[in-house]
Amino acid sequence: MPGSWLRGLAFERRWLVALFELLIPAEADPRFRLGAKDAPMHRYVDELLRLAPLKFVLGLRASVWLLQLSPLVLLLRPTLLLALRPSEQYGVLDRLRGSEVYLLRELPLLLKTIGCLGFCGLPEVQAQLGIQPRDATPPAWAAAHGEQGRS
Amino acid sequence: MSGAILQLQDVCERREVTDSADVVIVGTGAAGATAARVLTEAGLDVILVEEGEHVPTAELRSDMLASFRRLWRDMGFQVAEGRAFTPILQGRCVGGTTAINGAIIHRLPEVIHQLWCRDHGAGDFLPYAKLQRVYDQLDEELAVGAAPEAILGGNNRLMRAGIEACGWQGNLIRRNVRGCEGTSHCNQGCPNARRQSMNNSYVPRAVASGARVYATCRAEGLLRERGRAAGVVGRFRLPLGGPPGPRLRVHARRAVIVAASAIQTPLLLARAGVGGSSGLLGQRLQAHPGGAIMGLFDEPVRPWFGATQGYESTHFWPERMKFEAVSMPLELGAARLPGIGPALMRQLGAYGHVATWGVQVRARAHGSVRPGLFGGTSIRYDMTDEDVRTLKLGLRRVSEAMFAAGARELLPGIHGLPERITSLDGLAALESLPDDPRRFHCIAAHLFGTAVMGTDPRGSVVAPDGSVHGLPGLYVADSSPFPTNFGVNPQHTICAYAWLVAERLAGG
Repeated sequence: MPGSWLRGLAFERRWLVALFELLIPAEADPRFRLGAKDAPMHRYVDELLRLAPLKFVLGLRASVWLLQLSPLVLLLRPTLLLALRPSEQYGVLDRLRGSEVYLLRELPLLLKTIGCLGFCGLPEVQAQLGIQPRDATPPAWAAAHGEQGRS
Repeated sequence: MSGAILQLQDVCERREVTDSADVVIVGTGAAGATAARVLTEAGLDVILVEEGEHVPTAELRSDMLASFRRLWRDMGFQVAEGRAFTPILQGRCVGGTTAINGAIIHRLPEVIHQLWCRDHGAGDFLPYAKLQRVYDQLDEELAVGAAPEAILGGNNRLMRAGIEACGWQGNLIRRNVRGCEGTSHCNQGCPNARRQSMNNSYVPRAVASGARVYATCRAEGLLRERGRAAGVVGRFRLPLGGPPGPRLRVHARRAVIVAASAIQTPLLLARAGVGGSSGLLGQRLQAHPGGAIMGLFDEPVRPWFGATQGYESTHFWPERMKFEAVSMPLELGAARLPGIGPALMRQLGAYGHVATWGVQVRARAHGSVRPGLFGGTSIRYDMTDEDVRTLKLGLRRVSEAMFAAGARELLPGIHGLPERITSLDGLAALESLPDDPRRFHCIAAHLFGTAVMGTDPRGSVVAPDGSVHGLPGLYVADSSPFPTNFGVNPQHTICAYAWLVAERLAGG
């Protein structure tokens, strides 16, 4: 697609998927074992970035960069958020969520909102909560090629 | 000529689509569809131009992303900028916002009507008795009635218990549905075509009477002939991109009605170079911003069953607030739960016990609409400090009702408060928080005022009968002319106003 780089580079898409897996982890609750890594979130990201308004896409990309670079400021360490140990990652995200700076505390929330928009639309996710979707076929992005997992 | 709904795939082989009718209407939402219903049944030939897709009920999907993609403007990502980013919820499809809203029906409060008459000269065109007559007919044709007990579901039922326990007035919401099954899918498009949204009621009715609908076609400008509005030019294109299709050129023998919403209507008028002499076009944007509180109950709530919005309280309407139960789809509700990572997932596991009730504020804020970057729209809107104080008071009262209904804990989602609150004492800090909208997560719906009505062209964009000052033959029939917001859901009043605009046109 012409100008498709504006809609996210390959490594930014991988970052986005990894951030979803961090925010929506699997096996975290006995009532709710699924997590983002159980879903083909890379295809969700592709669909979202392809279709969403460009202004939103650019904002989302900027948010991903700011999150990734946040350890530089918050921990004074020259490393990316996704390169930290999980406990440190959650520590950084919690500090951002508690920030008095509006734009900073909205960063994790934006990623959480976008992640949930995809992940929670999956019939198997809803089924785990006892929701019987009206149509049990997965969303178009999850149904592509009949693949259900990423690995 | 027989009626039809045509969209890009039906006309993509052509270079240009041309047509003519007595009246051309831009928009198929509450205003456009109602005007079409009135005009076609008065024997006039009508064309509707709609930017969004026509999505048949059989193609609707459960998942929210699919609905965002096909039914919502900007995939649900339209926001107003101010101190905070505020999502602005609008439909973009045949049926407009009526295809995705909670089906809530209200009439214009009489005191607001009096204000419109006193300050904006609405009385001659909009006498209250005439409005009531149209409301009655709309009620009958759109099957308006109170939500029945069988489809209330836990969220609405608990709210009723809480409001009654507090001694406040509340009621089952009057909705435009015919045999609602309580699937709680209003925001995804009614899966059973039970909601009498315009795509399920007045659009097909107008088509049956001969109207042609050109969907996936954005109105780009207006045609003028001999100093009158004479038609609309547009371009077919899928709303979320793709190559452009043919141009549309439709001539109007009698009138053009713009009914594209309080966001898109002023932009179209500005592109056409009309309505701007007062300096008020695109200004005075008013809305009903709102926030919500979630409550965790011991008993199952199962928010995925029941009328999406089935219970409300207007007890504090004089204080500029209204409370509503709202069952959000899981995809949206999950994001409102507290925490991230494992904490979020633990909360998600308890989602079946979560109730969500909203506070809608009759805000005093005025915003604006103008063209934005990348061909988009720039919306400025900022709640005033007083609006935030109203919101805070409303959230506190809703919290009181939640505890009265038996909530074990509240999940307020307000910056500066704990993520969980187990008693009203925990809300004490709410009052001392700064009156800053950035501490809350509000959305705004119900938009008004961007082509305000009035008898003096120096202080208004349109006359009370919807005719645009300065260009005969051009009318605005949506909520853009409404001089103020009014604290209750506006769909019925938009329909009624469009009805009266169309009725006068048909008579003329």
